[in-house]
Amino acid sequence: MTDPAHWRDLGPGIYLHIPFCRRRCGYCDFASTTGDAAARNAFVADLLAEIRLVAAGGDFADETFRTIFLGGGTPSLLEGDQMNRILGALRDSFAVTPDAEVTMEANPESLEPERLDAFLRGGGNRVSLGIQSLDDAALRLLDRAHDAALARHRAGELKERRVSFSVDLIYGLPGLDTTAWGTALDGAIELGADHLSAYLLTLEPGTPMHVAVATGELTLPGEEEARAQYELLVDRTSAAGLSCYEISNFARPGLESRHNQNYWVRGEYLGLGPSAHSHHGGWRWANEPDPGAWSRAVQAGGGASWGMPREAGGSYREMSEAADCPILFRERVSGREAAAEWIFLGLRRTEGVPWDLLATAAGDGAAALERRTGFLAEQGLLERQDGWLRLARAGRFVSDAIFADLMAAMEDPVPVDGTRR
Amino acid sequence: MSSEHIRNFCIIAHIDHGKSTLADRFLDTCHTLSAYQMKDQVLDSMDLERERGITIKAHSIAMDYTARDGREYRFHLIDTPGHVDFSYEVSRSLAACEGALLLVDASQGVEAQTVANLHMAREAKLTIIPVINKIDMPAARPDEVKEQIRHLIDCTDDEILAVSARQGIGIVEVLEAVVARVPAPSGDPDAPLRALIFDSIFDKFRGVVAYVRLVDGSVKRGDRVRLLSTGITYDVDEVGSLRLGLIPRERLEAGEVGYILAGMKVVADAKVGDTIVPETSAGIQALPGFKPLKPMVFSGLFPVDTEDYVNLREALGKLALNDAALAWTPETSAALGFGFRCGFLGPLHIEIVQERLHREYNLDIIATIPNVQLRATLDDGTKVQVNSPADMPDPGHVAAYEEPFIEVRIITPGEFVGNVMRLVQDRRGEPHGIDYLDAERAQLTYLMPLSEIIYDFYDRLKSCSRGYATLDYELFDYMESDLVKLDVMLNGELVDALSLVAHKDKAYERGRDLVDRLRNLIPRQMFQIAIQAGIGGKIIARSTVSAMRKDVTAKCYGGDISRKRKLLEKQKEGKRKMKQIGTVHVPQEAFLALLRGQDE
Ligand SMILES: Nc1nc2c(ncn2[C@@H]2O[C@H](COP(=O)(O)OP(=O)(O)OP(=O)(O)O)[C@@H](O)[C@H]2O)c(=O)[nH]1
Ligand code: SF4
Ligand SMILES: [Mg+2]
Repeated sequence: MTDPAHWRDLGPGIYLHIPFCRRRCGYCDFASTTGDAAARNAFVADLLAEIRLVAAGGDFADETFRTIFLGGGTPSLLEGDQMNRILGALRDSFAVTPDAEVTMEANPESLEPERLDAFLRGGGNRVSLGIQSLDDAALRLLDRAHDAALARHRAGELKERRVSFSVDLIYGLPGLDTTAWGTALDGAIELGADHLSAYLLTLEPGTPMHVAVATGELTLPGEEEARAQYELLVDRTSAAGLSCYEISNFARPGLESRHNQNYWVRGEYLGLGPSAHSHHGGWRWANEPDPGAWSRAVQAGGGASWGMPREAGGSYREMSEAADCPILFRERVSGREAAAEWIFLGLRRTEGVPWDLLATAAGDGAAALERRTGFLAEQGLLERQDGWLRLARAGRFVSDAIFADLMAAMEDPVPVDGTRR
Repeated sequence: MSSEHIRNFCIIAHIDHGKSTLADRFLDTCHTLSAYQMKDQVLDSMDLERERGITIKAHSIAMDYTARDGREYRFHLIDTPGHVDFSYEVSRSLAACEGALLLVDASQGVEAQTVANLHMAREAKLTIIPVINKIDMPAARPDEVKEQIRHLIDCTDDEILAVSARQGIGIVEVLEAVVARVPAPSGDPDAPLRALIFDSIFDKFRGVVAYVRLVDGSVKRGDRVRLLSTGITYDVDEVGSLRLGLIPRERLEAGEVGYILAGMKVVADAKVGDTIVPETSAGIQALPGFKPLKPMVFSGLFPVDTEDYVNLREALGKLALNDAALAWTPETSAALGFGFRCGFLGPLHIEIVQERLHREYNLDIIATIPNVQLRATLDDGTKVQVNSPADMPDPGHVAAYEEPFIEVRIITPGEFVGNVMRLVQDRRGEPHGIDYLDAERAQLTYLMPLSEIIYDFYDRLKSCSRGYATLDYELFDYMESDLVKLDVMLNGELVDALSLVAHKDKAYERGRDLVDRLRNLIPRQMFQIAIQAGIGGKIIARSTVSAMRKDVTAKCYGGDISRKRKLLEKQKEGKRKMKQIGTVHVPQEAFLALLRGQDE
């Protein structure tokens, strides 16, 4: 069973992790540091070194990359020439299609026109703008460095330049009711982005917001309210011509994020920079998340290669056993794990997953999985149509429960049947 | 020592009236144990007994007492349990004794087991010495209690002793009364051996230890003996006295209580109630034995961890070595997996077995709702025995059910008589009589189904009488009853572990109760869950667990799929640990809470 043809131009992709933020937002637990200009310079040098090292290793020599994504952190904190050096190094070292989707995550406060223009000159063609909300109270609550006016202003600058851009939003915020969310959402839609991502606030343990909620200082909206906010999101975006192509992602047809879709169809990608993840040749691996440790490993790694792990005797293996390898862990994904990935990644997309693909990966768990999907379809949570399995709209907001349920069903090939004795 | 200086007696009483504490004082006074060995309720040697502060097994111990007349006496004391589930321990102990101390708590007065145990002691023709205990307590009412005792026993006030076991007041007087009032054993030392096995235990190192009362003759190491009921012969390896441990002696003689080791492998070899005689003797009359122990209450025991099935089987086998009342057969439940249907003496026995399995064998157990043994008469006249709701025949073919009825004695302060009567009538009890032990203390007797007291009766009795009413019962007979099988369904799927037998008039209430409790115990799932209780095909109660509305997480940051997978795997493992009833996942804890009744 091969992947559907229309998935093929989604990848492979390159992800670069830029671990700097102007300051730490109150709900965030990403790998990022504040860092000064000198630190950013040193980081860019290391990143360029890593690009060259991986290229020299030759593991990706046969790949033609279709997307590049600068994520973070806040990539828009980099100077224009830094961005260009990075993008240039990628094109020099790897094969990248001319029409590649090249995205940068940006925050309103740092996306000054000079940087934006530099990024565009360097081949960038897409911006994901982290506005999070257009409600100033919400932005203060999120401890963001910008306000709604600045977000609007940046969106205007993007529009002027006819850059395809996406806006990020967060809902389910403490103290913000569905009406306030609706207002912020409408404002965001009016910015005229081609793409919108909206995530339910997740409290990451240890973040200031988590503490505030735990101590009762802040109260999260209840289940029904959060759900109402999601339903509102789906309705308003679709009315505005942004269709829901993934649980939390909405786009004008044809302008979906290729880079992100590649993750959900289990495509291959190379991750560079601290904490970046890669998927290639049946392996998943991750770089050391600590920027200092990552940097030391890169500097020590002259001449060696890492990247695609080889099962025996290859360069990856030598690297991963070396003391200063930047790779934190690697794992081979196959069988049940691959099936699990089809479930919790593939089903996130509205299109869903070809049943045969999932069934093949599930192996002897396929029959039990089929029974369970049948039942959940009867419950209106899944849909099975033309050989595809997908989440029904009613299933999207309980998707994690569905995924875990299907994963469990798959692992008990002979489920205990209540009527059997 | 000639039998003239032997006194065999036991202490009997209602629960917690201080038997084991009084035994402590006897041991002190007789200097039986070293200071190092001594502790409170020292005879309660099982961990569980010590922790719960109750006696579960009868404990025998020999003591040497120098009386006021200057003579040495050999006492054999048996401390007995007070709880009704273990009353067979009392009846066996009585068979080894000539006298019984009937202990009554000075603040509580006469209670149900006081009367029940007194009846047993009388039937065994023992000399009874009434003793009021805990006179040190501020709430002690010795005069009223004396009156209650005189209502039961034909005696004068002077014959009733008063002590404080805790403070050691009046102890010597009791021991002197034992010397003076309890008759010396009357057996014939020169006749052929006749010894009654009144208890037997299994010792890991030494095998079966038979506790015996020698009625006639004597026994020593090397003798060849025969058990009358089985006819099997054994070589006696060792005889001796029971102290805290086993103290070997040259010989045991008529009138004495002690132990015999004779290479018996399993407790069943040394059947309690059997008579030991010399190998060669003929025509010796067996001593009166005991009624065989019959399990009264049944429950399915299932390991919480299904992998523990084999361990559970082994553990039950080992427990049974020392617990002749425990019976079991394998049972399978769709909800709970593989386990055993076990027979018990009563609810406390279930609890004790469960706890011993946990404590001594590290096994976590779910016990299903207990039921009594039923007899069904089918349309064609055949009779079948039913030990489990799952075994109940198709109601269409049952002409009648019979269930065991008991005679219940409840003793309560007069002011609660009304409450108690209401409770008992609600439990299908039929009044058999009322008697006043004194102006304040009523004794009510009822005929009622055993099944009605194994479900939440004891607690209600206590709460409707502010803790004062006490209860005792004995089996009366099987009588006809209108019984049905009550089933619980989740989304239409039977939850076999929750099926129970109910009286037709009670079925609705119990169904409602189960359904409501389940509703609070089943976590919401992605879909709505219908909980139903029904009889046959007819639904009598229902409730729903509404669907979960939110369980969603954000994207996988920067392609970090591994982390997401780990999170979901955890969630998945959680589901896999649950029991799947049809399409619904039910956490093990829900069954635990429901069956242990801990959610209230
Ligand atoms: N105040 C006071 N308390 C006593 C006296 N005798 C016993 N107790 C207390 O009563 C409680 C029960 O004593 P036990 O000796 O365990 O009673 P029991 O009759 O052996 O109990 P079971 O074997 O469970 O039937 C304990 O807390 C004792 O300390 C006494 O003379 N005075
Ligand atoms: S800007 Fe983004 S990555 Fe940086 S701290 Fe804020 S939320 Fe985290
Ligand atoms: Mg005791």
